[in-house]
Amino acid sequence: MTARVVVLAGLLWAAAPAEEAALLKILRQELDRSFAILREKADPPPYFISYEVTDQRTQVVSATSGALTADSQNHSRLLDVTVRVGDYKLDNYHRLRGQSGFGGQGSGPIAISLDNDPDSLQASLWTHTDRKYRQAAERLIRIRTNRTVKVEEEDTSDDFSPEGPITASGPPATVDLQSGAWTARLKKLSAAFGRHPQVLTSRLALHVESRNQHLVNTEGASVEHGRNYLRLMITAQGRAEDGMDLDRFESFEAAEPGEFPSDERLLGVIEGMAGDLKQMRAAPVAEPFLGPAILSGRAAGVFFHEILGHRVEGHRQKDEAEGQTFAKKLGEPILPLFLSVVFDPTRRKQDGIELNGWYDYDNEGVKARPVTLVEKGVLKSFLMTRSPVAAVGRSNGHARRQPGAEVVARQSNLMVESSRRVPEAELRRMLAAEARRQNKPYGLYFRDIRGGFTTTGRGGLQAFKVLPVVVYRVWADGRPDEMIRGVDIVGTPLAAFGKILATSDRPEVFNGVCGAESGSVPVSAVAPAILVSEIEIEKQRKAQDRPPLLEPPK
Amino acid sequence: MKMKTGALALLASCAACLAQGSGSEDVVLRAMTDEMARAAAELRLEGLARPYYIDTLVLESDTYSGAAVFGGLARSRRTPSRSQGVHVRVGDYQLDNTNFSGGGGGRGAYDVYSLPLEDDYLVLRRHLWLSTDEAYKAAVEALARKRAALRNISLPVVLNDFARQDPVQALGRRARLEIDQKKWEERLREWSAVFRRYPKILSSRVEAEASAGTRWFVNSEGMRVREPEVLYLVQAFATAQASDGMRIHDSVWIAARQEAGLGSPAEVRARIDAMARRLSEFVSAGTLDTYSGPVLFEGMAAGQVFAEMLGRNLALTRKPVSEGARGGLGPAAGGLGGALDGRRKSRILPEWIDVTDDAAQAEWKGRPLLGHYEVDLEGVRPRRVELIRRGVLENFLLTRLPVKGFEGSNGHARLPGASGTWLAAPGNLLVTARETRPEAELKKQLIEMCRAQDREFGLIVRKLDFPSSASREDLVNIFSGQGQDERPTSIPLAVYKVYAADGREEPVRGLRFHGFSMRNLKDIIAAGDEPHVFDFIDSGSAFALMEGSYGAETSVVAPSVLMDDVELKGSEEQRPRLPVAPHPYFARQK
Repeated sequence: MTARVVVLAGLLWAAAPAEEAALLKILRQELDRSFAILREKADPPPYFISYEVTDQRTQVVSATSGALTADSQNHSRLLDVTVRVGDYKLDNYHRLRGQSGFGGQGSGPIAISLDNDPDSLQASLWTHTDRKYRQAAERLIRIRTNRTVKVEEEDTSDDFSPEGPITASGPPATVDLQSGAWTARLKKLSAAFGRHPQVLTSRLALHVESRNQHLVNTEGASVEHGRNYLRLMITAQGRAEDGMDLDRFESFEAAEPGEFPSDERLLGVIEGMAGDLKQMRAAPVAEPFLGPAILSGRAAGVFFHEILGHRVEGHRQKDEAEGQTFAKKLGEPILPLFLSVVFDPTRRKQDGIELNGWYDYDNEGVKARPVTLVEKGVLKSFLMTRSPVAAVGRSNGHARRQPGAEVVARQSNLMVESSRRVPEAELRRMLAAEARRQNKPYGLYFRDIRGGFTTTGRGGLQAFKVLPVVVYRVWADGRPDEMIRGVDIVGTPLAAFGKILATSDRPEVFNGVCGAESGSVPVSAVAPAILVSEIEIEKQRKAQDRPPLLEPPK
Repeated sequence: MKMKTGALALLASCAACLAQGSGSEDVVLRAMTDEMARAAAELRLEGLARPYYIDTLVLESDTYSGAAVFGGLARSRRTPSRSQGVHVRVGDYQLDNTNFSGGGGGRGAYDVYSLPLEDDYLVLRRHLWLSTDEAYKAAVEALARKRAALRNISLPVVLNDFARQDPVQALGRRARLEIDQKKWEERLREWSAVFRRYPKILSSRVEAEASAGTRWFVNSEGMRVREPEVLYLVQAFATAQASDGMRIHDSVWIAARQEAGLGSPAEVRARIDAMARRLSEFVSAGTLDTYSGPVLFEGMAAGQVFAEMLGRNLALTRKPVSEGARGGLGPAAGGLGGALDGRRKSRILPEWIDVTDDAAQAEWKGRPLLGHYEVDLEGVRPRRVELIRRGVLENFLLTRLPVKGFEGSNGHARLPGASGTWLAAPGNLLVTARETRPEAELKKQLIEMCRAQDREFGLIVRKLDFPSSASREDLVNIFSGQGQDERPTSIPLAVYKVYAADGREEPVRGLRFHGFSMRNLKDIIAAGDEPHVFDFIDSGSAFALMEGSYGAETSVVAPSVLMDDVELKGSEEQRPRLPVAPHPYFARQK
């Protein structure tokens, strides 16, 4: 990536701050009015209300094989209203046992006026505050009944933790995108796939978004912050002779358009992806295997995201429908003692690469801060919202959601640190040695992954899956690496952690989007490559179709 | 696949119109035709059947979508798009892979559903190539499974799977969207600001959509169709709440094939204003527990009744072959339609009413008909169909799917069906009464009947909530309030008591039809002499709710009708609490 020094990543001093403050003033006026009247006249009265407006300006440009496939823009403002009735100890967000989630308190996205028109905005705020209040009141009544009927709960912590009034503001995030230049550029780059018959379909897509958040609440918080998300994605698909779908995906993230890699570098990436697809076509299908492996930094990042990240989200520790793998393990070792894990939403870049998971304030208006989750193998905390758990009483700024959903604790930038670091060449030697020690003919090397998923519910499998894309056999006898295809990594979390032997000395970045109860949120995982003594792979579901019957048209 | 059926009301009706663009380069058409020819000639899996029929549909559209709330603009965006779909049939006209519930579509493995926006011949052909390949493989597999399933079933009646059809060449123009986005934003703000004068209205919004594009359809029998697809739509929604907690709603719906057809901005504003005024009136209206007696369906309401009652029941259903033990004929899964199956020659209406569908008709008494189209989704030209003659059901709306008693399309394939088939739906449904009374006399007749039956009042319904404009919250309540065994019936929105003593009218809110079905059509005892045109977009769902973007633009021309013996009862739906805080804008006005 060309080295650029960016003074303030994500912000361009373009629009006047006065416009932003105007919106906040309109929100505050209606918030105060509604709250005062409801406190006086509603039964049960609310004790807390917050409004958050997410203002998004997006542009999408995409091309395939030299032709434009999308070119559109959108500006939206979405409203989220939170109404709490009861008190900090017991309110309408208390878990209803026998029911997972928040019992439908989410509303789906609410679109409000893009103009700072007080009459229009306040009419919308009022309509939705009324609706939320009615839902909240009804739910509180059900909760009170539910508690008298069911068995005493295990975790009796409060439903809402206190926060002081916070004020923050700044110039809005904006992006200046020359869309004409980009359509030409994407068309040109996408045409490069045309030379490669093994690539059946491909696409280059640029997603550019300025997202600005405006939050007010009845504790006196008044927070405005924002950032840009720029993402260039390249996908290519092929198909093996036996019908297995093959695909490759690369993405680049930037704080502003000039930060993206040069054409030369991108063409190199495209050639590499096409080359991978060719190799994958020729590669043998993997057999189920249990043995040592290296996960590249990117693969390791996903591994930690799925196995660790989702199990330390605060709300899960209190929900008796959840597996609660780590709920009682605060202060105990859960990882090898040479590993530490920090979630740091204040980190914007890693080695010059823009991180997806940074933000200044979370969706409850709490200031972002680094959280040491695991220190030298020992579990120190959980990711917290303002919903406390027995062991951790306050938020640590990880309340996140997609507009329209209720907040839960979500990951930010996951950073794995290791004190047992070796150069990558040494890690490879260790892998071969471990294979020989276990009497296995080879170990595995996972170079890239597509993503993964995990289930955490008590009724489910409590397992995870990481979806590898580029995998090699590393032969114990030293012959060259052999690519294999059709592999999924499976496992259960506690077992997997104990098997990490060492890490490389160079972290890599995986930028992605995480989907869970509160919708899609952008995240990242930064980790060095890891050597595990035992990983289990199974065959991917394979499609039965053949490759296309006719030759491509000329 | 996204789709809105097209129409050609803008051009003078000309059958095989070779408008500008067809002689010169139409890259899309050429790519479709060339790839189709190659696939038809060469596509086959060794030892297995080759396709006997292939069709390809490409839909291009440029859509502007805007919305405003209470004077503030909430959305304004323009999205170009182009998508494609390919159907492949293997087997033959007697037995093929369609109409089978175990069929499924292609795997969707290739990312080719959206096409490039530009006319790049080679890239278009590549997308079609992969799409056709997938569709063929899915067809071969489906046919094999269908044959296996058929070994275990004996069908009561054996029908062919596909009717033959002479190919049509209908090359119309390509449509492009010309829109002044800034102007539309201003109009939306202005229209939505109308509600600032109506304090009884709790929430409201105005939406507009302008869409222009082209639909191409090519098949291996030689069909070549290119049709413009243009639609302008303005909607306004409003909800109010009476003092007893009952929520009521209403809407405005205006559609046209040209921007001018919507009416001037001032005319649109006037219509929204009239709706707001009426809704405000109804908020303070009284309620009624029950009513059983004559009802006058006036103007638009009559069209809505015919649309909902007859509408899609005029298509015969055919149950797909399924992999379980049960197969054969009967109502299609999904519940809608099928009420007229097997009822040919039975009486549906009084003998002085006829119902015809004539989608080829472009206008009625100088007013454009939204339901007009040149060719349906299978490329067949719509024929004038005499559906109900002298009150007796004679014919049905047909697609190329043979149904019991009928084989051969009459050009009414308009909505996506299951398992590779299309559903028939009306285009322009024309309800003609051979005996009519002057419009004003109908109300008099209603009053006379009330007097004769010793009733204090009768009812006039001027509008139904069809298609429904209820909010999600209200819809849930309405659905749950309906009887278990009843087919969902749209609710009446504008109902008035007419007092027998002096003819005075009084609005009534919260009524629901009870046991209202096609049977009631036989109780029509009089019709007016000023038919009204009712336009709407049919989606194939209950209440014509638009779940996806499929829509069949439809017109119903019908006279006002006086119906005897209609039952209604007061709504028993949940009544939410009234808002505790007053509306911020109206509180300030005081």
